[in-house]
Amino acid sequence: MDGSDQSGEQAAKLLNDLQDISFWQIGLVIVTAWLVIAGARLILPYVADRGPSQFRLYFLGAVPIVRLVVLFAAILWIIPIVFDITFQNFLVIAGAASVAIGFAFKDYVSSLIAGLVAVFERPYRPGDWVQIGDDYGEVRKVGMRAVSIQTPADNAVTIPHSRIWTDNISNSNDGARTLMCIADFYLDPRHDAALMRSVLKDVALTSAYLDYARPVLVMLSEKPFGTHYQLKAYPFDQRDQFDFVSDLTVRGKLAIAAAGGKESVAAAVADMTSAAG
Amino acid sequence: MTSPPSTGAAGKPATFIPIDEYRRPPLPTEETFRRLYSKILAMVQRSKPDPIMAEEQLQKATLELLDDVVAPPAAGPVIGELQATLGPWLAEKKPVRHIATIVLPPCDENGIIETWARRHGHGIVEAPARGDLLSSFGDPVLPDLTGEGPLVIPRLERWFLRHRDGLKTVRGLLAAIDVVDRQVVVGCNSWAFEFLSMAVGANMILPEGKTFQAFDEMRLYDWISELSQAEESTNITFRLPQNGKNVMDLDEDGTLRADTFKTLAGRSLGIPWVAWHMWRRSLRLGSDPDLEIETDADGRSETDEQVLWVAALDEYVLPADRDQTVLLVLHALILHGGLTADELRLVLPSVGESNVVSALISAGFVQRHDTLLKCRAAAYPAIREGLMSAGFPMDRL
Repeated sequence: MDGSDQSGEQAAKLLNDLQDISFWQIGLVIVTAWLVIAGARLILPYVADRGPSQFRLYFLGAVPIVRLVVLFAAILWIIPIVFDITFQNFLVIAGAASVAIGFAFKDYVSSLIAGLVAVFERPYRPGDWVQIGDDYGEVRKVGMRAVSIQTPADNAVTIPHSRIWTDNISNSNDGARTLMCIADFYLDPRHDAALMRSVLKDVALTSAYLDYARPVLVMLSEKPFGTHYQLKAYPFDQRDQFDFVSDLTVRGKLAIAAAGGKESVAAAVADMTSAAG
Repeated sequence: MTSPPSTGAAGKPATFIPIDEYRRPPLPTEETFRRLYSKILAMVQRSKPDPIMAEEQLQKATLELLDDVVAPPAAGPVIGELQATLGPWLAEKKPVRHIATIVLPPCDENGIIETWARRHGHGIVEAPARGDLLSSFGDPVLPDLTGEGPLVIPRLERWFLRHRDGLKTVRGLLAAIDVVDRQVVVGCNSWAFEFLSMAVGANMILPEGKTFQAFDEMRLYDWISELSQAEESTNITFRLPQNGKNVMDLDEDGTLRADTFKTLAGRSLGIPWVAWHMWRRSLRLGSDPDLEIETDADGRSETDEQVLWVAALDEYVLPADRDQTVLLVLHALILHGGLTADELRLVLPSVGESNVVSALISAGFVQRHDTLLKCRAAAYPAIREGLMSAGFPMDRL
């Protein structure tokens, strides 16, 4: 009987008296926090898309940071209103939370913690182009639990942050405004390779999308069925990557034909098969 | 009215400076905030703003009068400054470097370097027709550069086409310049110079480019007041429609009372031909009933002076939302110093037909000279800002 009275007394002390809890204040904090976060989610991407290109990634990257700061501030504000914070109470809350998390919300909390880590370690930020597992696309939103990416096929893919514990995250631009693009060409090996390198380099150098500050590379390797050329260059804006690669490919094919090169279908098929295998 | 000190020392024309030392004149604070507000407004407005001011306003001052008070050419004192810069170097018998590079901002319609070269009797190497630049895989045909006396290549931007097969001629030309045994002056627009430095290593052969000193408030005032006083038969005053102030009035310390020239200098990026076009487009004839100064229908006041009203400078506004095709066209035109429609198609990654050029001509960003399409000088600051905002590779001026 004494034991149950004691625990009841402790539980009563854990929470503040009902009449002392200012529900309107809690409501106000929650609504304000929600408004600020929703506003940041709405305004920052809007400004990022319509404002100067050089600031786009900064605006996009600010969204999860604003959300984290606002949530943290709101929780810190609300906790003392609801709970009577003492060391003993802290242990009680932590114990209860641990049990709940351990049994019911393990994966969810793992994603939440990974989301926290993602904000600080920044394996991806809004505006980055990432490959997670089989999915490649632009990071549109870094939420509390998951990251949303938009694929080139315009699919929205939601991936829990907990994937950062187990998967490699391949980030193509890592916060930069540009990323390397590669146009592949497969040629019959009987050609003047030096001329072909020079021709392909001029193709990249004269692209309207080219970032002047980055290098242009032409790499080639001999395959059993032909010569594989990789034309590597950077567009000045990452959003142009597909236009850029298409432009390089179209003009590269014309340049190869004009230089007497002959494209090899067999080499392309063989290379794709080996990549798939 | 006292004459302000000239930028050049003791009446001598100013000399050109290295392009990295070029500093664009600042805008007045009020104008800076006004433009910032306009940009934010353009960003949040869903509807696209009217790209330029109404065309009928541009007709108010007659062309004859404009030619009297703001006479062409739009080169300002730059030709004299070019001679002051290159004259001593050309007079050297054994100069340290036999090449001089002059880099100018785009939209120079007067051919400043060519005019200077003709005036001083230097040999000029004309660029080949653009169609001849696409020489497939044969060796490019280059002019013979040997001979006596200085040689001038006024527009290097005309020697290439941003096409997979359009760089050979300029490569050959640069190699020939490098070994020729005479002094060579190479002129190039600032955008083409950056491109050629990246694409063909022009900056390895050509020495550091030089350009004019930016036309700030007082340099513009000196030049424009000189232009307006050149026509002796007319006594022109330039007044602000808001308050009737004479924009040419100076304080006792020699500074201008109105911010008009400071705004003009900032808006024109310190480029004289851009300022010249903006200034001409801002002049209006006629009287305003709300103003204290009474003028007749010809703009003559009681004191027999002819009044020209200085209206707000034209606002060229590119669409705030990202229109890549428009910017690609403008970038290509700036880079090449003008292209025909067929050449434009060769240098752009266009897919299908496009009406962008017609739209740009209608909006006042582009003008057509016979078959050649060029960016308008007055629109250049807006174009430059649009390209910079979209992340395009920029020039250094």
